[in-house]
This record gives sequence, C-alpha cells and structure tokens, in this order.
Amino acid sequence: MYQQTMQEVTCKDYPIQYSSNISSRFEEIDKNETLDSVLSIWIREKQLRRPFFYRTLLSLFEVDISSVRPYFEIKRGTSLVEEAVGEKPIPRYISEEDILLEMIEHDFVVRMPPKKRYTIELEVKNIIKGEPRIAEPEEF
Amino acid sequence: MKEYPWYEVVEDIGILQGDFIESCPIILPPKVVELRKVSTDVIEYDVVVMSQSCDLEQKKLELVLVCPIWPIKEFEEKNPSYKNNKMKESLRREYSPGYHLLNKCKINGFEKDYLVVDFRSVYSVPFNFLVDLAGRRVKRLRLLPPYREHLSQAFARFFMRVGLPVDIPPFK
Repeated sequence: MYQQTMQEVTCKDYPIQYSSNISSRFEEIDKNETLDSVLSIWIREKQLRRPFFYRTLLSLFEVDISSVRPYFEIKRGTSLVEEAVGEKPIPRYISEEDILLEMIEHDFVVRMPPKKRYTIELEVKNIIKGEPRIAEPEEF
Repeated sequence: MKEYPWYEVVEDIGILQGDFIESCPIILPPKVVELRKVSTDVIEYDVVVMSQSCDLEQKKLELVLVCPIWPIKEFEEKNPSYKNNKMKESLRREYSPGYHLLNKCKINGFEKDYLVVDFRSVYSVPFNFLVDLAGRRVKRLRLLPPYREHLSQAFARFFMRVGLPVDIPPFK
C-alpha cells in the first residue's frame, strides 16, 4: 500500500493528509516527518473545531455564479434604454435652469428701450439715389 | 501672469472697433420723406463700435456699425430672469447668442458695471458724424484686445446662425 510522505507534498502550507492508521513502517519515517505528522493532525483537528476556517477559503477561489444567478443592469450611459423602460420620462417643459445645466443655446429676446427719445424737425433738402461705393482692395 | 486689461481711456481722433460712444443719436426715418420740413424721432444709446478697425482706419466705410450696450442692472430690470446668477452665467458662457457680456471697468472716472451688448439692435451711423461726435467727447473708453476680437467673434456667431425650416426631428 502506498504511503504518503512529506516529500510528495508540493503545496506549501497545505495540511498533509496522513492516515490515522499508522503502519508498521512508521518507524522508517524520520524524526522531522513525525513532527510534521503530529502538526498536521493538530491542524486538522483544530480546523474541525473551527468550521469558520473553511468559509474563509472561499475567498481564495474565483466563483462564477452567473449561470445560477444572472445579473442584469441598465447601462446608465445609454439613455435610450432608460427611456424605453420608462424610468425617466422626458420633461415637456424645459426650465431656464435645465437650459443652463444642459448647456443649451437659447434665444431669449430682451427688448431694451433707447436711453433717450425725442422728436426733431428737419428739412429734407435733397433726395438722391444711392450709388455704389467701391472700396479699393489692398495692394498684393 | 501677464495682465490683460479690458479697457483703456483714449483721446484719439480716429475710432476703432470696441470704442464706446455715449449717447449716440440715431435718427429714425420719417414715414414719408418729401422735400419739406418733417418731424422725426431721434433715439439715443450708449453704443460700442462693431465695424472692423482696419476698415475704419483706412476710411473704407461711410457707415459704421454700432450696437447698444446696457449696464447689466438695467438689463435685469427689463428681464428679471437675468437677476438669477444662473442666467447671468448663461450670458457669460455665451449661450445666448443675441447678447454679449463685457467685464466691469474700474478706471477712475470711467467706472462701469458689467455691460451687455445687444446684437439684435445694430445701427449704422455715418462715419464722419461718429468721428465728430467722438472728437467732441474728448475722452472715451476703448475695449482692448483680445476682448474686442472676442466681441466681434460673438457678433459673427450671432449673425451667421441658420434656422432650418424643416429640421431633423429630435431622437426620442
């Protein structure tokens, strides 16, 4: 029967699974191996007393549960999806604040009266048809 | 950092883009123009010169484009929504293409609050008349580069807008 020894264990800190039934060849195992064995048993017993230790091992593994618990989320960057599901209706009235926040160019008209207004009398002396005035271009 | 003042006070005879002319009279044409005495209205605005400086310096214009300017307080009184800082911020960010905001002036004797330039009310004033008027006022305020080019660009942006009769419907 094959007997597991310390030399076959490659994973560091992994408890060696020794059989509780110590064979007659146990005497062949050197002193260090005996100590390892004792230590292994002690650790295993300790683990059994503290099952919480096993739960912490879960963090060491990558667990993909997407097949049993799929996760869906609406992408925030694509407003069309939001609009399609009716989460955020488009407001009919856009306030001035919205305009500012959305950086929309607006075209409000403020009709300012002149600073001063008065009537004058003037005499029209001549009425002539305007002529084109040609501005000479710069010399090249 | 180098300082870039917004304004300077000038006494030049020549006028440039960005010059402020206070109480500039604009004669409104009468309904009927005949060879006789007619009464007509005159309106006055504080204006800023919009025509290009090179055209003015080389006297290539008979008419000079000017736009009215308003202290922001008066602008707010006319449209109280602009009392809200957010609306003023929209002016500063140039979201309202019909208007342009100019900075305060702290020069002694020429102190001004923020000014709003109204691009919708553009008037043409005879060049010689404006030069004479500016000469009579002796000292006047002048908007300095790059702010006057910025003003000119804002005017161009306002003027070049195109409204489509049939627009592409919005994506909803």
